[in-house]
Amino acid sequence: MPADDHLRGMFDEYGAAPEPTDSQREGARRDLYAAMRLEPVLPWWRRRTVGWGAAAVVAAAVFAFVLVIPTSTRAVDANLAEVAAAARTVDQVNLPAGSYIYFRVESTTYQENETEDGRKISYQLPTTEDLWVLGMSELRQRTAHRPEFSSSSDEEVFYTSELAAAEGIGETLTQPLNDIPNEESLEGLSTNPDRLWNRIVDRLSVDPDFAEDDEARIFEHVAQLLGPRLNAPPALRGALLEVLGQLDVITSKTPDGGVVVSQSYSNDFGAYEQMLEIDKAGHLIRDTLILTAAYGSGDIPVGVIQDIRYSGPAVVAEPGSFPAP
Amino acid sequence: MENVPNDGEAIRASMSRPEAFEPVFDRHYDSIFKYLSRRVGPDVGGELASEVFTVAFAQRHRFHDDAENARPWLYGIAANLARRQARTWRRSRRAGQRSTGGNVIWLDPAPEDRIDAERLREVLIDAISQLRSSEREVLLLHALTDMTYREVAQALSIPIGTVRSRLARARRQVRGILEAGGHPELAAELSEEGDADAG
Repeated sequence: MPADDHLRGMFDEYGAAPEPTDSQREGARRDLYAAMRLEPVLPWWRRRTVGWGAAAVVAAAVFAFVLVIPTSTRAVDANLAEVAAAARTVDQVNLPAGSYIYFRVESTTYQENETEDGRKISYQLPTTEDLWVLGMSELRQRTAHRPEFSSSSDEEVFYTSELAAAEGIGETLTQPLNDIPNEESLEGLSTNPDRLWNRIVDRLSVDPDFAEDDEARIFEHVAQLLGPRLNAPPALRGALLEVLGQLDVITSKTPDGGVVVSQSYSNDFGAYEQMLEIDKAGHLIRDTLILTAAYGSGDIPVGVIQDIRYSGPAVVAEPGSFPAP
Repeated sequence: MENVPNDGEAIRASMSRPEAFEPVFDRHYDSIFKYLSRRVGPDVGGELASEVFTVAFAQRHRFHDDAENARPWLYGIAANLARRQARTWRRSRRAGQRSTGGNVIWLDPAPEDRIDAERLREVLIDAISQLRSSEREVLLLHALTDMTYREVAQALSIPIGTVRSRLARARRQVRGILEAGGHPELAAELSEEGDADAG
């Protein structure tokens, strides 16, 4: 008999290893559900698989373009160029050592859900998240609010089934997280828009499915780099906006000096328009995704499926504290 | 028959559908609970077992992409949490606070029908306490779970040869302590070197 079996036997002299009780197991399961609800995920409608046909056409066009014309001659959208220039002049926010970046995320997200007895319902779920970020650690506080339903029957099913509790409506969940991967780090990013473009393409090329002409992925990556979590410095925000301005986007100025940038893409589920609102300092303040055409089963309603509003990043000394008004 | 995803498939699916992670919990929660209960007692062990799965979920991008079985990875997280708990208890004791735990392994109070059981229990705990932490970790992971040497190596991110050498040193030392403590019969049991585990 292996020696460790004897040791195991000695341990068992003091009774077999205790089994978890049902309440311990279910408590642990609830903790896991809470962690799942707290995590921002990449839902199906964010997966940017460009159809093969469209990809081939775009790839051929961009391939020719890249062969003939150097990247630096790409034209930058005038509205984005203007906001980029303004963003570069903004003072850098000083972040003392040990301080936290705070920001608030208010979002409404289209959800499809199914009860245990198989009834499918859909609703718009509003949530508020407060986040305090320090390097790879963060404290996240999330509150789920009462959903909006397109039918009273869906609303009745929601509140009479287990779904209301599963969504944690009215609850505020607090979760400290450590060692969060910082896949969208600012490290190594240039404030020169051409070098920045190449760096972003290099990063995305780690994914074998990425093609250099995949503007939808570049757009998405720039949106993440502009988000409040990373608190990109002004010169980099300016360069990121100039990268956006080199993509095939539509822009319009906002009354307060910012810009709205929109881009269309499609995947197996439908066609989409994503709109980013950038304020005059170059901060991303709103990210809206609209389903413009549904493919497949067709039971996904066309319209806004996610609308996220960000407060600008602020510096606070402690997690859980709020910036002065 | 329903096709149940293996751990690797479930974890990969959970990157876009968080709820896909649940089979990993269903498959491993009880064994992780038992291991941690043995390490730190059933109360704290229950809390840590829950934490293992929230940590694993938050860090699932670190799970080795082509692995099918998450067991070594989960035990690695559990071992880290048990060590963290031990550090907390040590700090509490240094600070002069009462600590409800602190042994390197948790064993039930002695059964009433064994007169010398309580003393034996102390000897065993003492023997394991005197091991280097790196050797103790390997010994307890192997003795308290049914993991192979290879899985222990994966759990602790060390080479399999290191697992073997640490186990050999740990057994030798526990044997010596048991002999010195007046338990040669127990030491003799541990002297068997029938190592059936090819890793």
